[in-house]
Amino acid sequence: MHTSGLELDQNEIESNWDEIVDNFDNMSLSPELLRGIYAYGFERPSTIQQRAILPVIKGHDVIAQAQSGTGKTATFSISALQKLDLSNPQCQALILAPTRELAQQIQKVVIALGDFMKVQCHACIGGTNVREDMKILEAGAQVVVGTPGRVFDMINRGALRTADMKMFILDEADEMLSRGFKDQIYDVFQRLPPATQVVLLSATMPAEVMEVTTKFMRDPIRILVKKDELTLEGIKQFYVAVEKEEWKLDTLCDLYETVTITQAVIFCNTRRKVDWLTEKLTAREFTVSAMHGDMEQGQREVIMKEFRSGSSRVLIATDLLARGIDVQQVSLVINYDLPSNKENYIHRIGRGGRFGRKGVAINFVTADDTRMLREIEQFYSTQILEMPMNVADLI
Amino acid sequence: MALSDFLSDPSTGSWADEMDDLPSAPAGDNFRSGGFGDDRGGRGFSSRGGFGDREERESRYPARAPVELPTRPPYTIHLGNIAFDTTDADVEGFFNESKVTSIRIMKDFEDKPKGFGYVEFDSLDSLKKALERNQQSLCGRNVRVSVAEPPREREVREDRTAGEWRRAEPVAPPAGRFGNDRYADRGDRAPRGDREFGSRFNNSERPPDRTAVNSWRREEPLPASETRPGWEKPREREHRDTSWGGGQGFANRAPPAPATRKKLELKPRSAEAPAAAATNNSAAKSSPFGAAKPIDSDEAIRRVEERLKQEQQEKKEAADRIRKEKEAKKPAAKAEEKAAEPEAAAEAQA
Repeated sequence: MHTSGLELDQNEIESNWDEIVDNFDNMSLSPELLRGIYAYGFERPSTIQQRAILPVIKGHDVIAQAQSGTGKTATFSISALQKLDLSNPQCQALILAPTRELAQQIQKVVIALGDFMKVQCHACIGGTNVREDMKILEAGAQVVVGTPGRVFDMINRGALRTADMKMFILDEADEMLSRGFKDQIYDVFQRLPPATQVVLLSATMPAEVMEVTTKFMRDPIRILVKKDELTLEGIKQFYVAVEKEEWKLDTLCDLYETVTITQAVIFCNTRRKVDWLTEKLTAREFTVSAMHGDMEQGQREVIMKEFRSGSSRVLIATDLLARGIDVQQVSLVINYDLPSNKENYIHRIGRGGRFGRKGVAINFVTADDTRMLREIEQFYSTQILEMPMNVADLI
Repeated sequence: MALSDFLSDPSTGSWADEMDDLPSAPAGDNFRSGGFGDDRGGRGFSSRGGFGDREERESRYPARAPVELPTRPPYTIHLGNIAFDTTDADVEGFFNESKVTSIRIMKDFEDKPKGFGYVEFDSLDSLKKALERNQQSLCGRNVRVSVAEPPREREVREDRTAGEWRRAEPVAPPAGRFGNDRYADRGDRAPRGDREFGSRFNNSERPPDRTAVNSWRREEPLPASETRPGWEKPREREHRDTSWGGGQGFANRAPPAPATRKKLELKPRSAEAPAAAATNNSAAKSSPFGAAKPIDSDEAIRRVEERLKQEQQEKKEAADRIRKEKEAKKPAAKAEEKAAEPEAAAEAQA
């Protein structure tokens, strides 16, 4: 194993900011924004909000790490909204996210928080009408939330103008700077004014990503979380020893009643397996819906809407939904397959137990997965116990 | 490697997804015999029609160039067209002149064999010997033996992102409504260098306060544990022993699991199950919530959703209205004069 060196590196990089403001009122926010924050339901800032909002507003480059579901989206949304020059209709803050669903969710949070500011915020994502996108952008959107491909396209076509951009925010930054996205982010970077402020956020910040950030961050403020503090007390983690892959399906069926106590997300590692599992469960007359990146955008939106409204309760998905998606009624996450990297384990189980609610994560573990499970436990200094038979009481 | 090893190894998780889209694996060039099973020759089975799908595909996509012999380990062959009941032992026996170091017969997660596999040998000589077995019979089928695609060299492609990411010059203010090539004849386009994709390659002028550190680009492939198996193209990882379990040789099987599954005897939810609430008052870890309480933002989000929907609806209605008005005008215009038509056409084009 080669992990030791990595872990050392990660421990060497430490937070360099500990000022906190534990009240929204004391953050010198505009009255309209403050009104939006309280109307949204917030009363007091969470730890990341206490620490990160101010340095971002002050214009620092910031790397902000915080546990899943602890208010990162609101952190950067509030900061961006405070920094807008509302008399300028041009785009001043660009927010990128790895999935369309997350971009759309962020857009709604920005609009909700900016409710009393008359802010124009547009979700610029793939799978939608290009012409429409251009029309809206040309009319002016002060905040643009998008996925990298479409955003770059819009910049290239001249529909999204970058001259007035002040802030560049990467949500799920470690994913955005990983191999699948890095080049695209770089391309976008090349179109932004040199002085653009950069803000990175994620629940996970592996060492190799921290290294990439030296390419574009200027004396960044770092607000980091040690990996043994990443798992949340409120999310109980269990495993079920299923021995064989073939037994997972029956095991899931045994669990179905528990699964439907509230809402649940079931993660598989491939799109095809999502389809397969959906088919099998549907054949056994269990009601489930499915979501993955091969599906058409319109369909993806319908599925998300049904799940958010609670009209569908069990969603089988790929890692497309591992990050950022916030559905408050989700209290159970099942890893039908263990995730293929340690970061996504944290992100997946964080779909339940949002903002301090209770959550349960159940990992299906075959004989061969045991080692991987132990590695996850060790890596995050957490405990994954065998699932008790009264698990229903914990949900 | 046991089937369950392979199945549970997430680094090969999406493997099946990708392979299905690829043309069949290339046969070893010099060893092609053009036999019945060799449908890539173009004159075999497929060219007789009836398999139009494949034929069509082949005419559109020429067969892939054969993979060159590897110069360093892993020495792996792709074994195609194998019978579904072929076992590791059969394969090992089939290549008895070569020293086999690992065998992977591919099966899907429903346990169905996919009819192909990979065999790794200890040396190039073993691999060459193995290639001679191309189109010979294994378990009653003429199997295809070809060099497997090597693990892709990650550093071959130039890393564009190695230098400074921020641009040196300010962004030129947009001169026209559009800057893209469709409007290239407009004289007010910004200088090409600013817009062109290629400009970043000779991005040599960097701000002085940002000394570019180029050392982050690695010369060698990443060690297994530093990479993220899930985010890679599957073929790149076939030969890598990831830290995520299951990289062991085929000799080292998991102990046999019990033959029948024990049903989960779950207890029903007891009546006094506590309602979902914040449970972050543990002293063991500092709470990441501070004084914040769970909030119900769902309602706020729903309000926004409704408003967005309404705005969209209004826009659509406005567009519809305009269209209807135009349509209403049309018959009248037609009756009046035909000269109006080119005008309308020009309008539509704009």
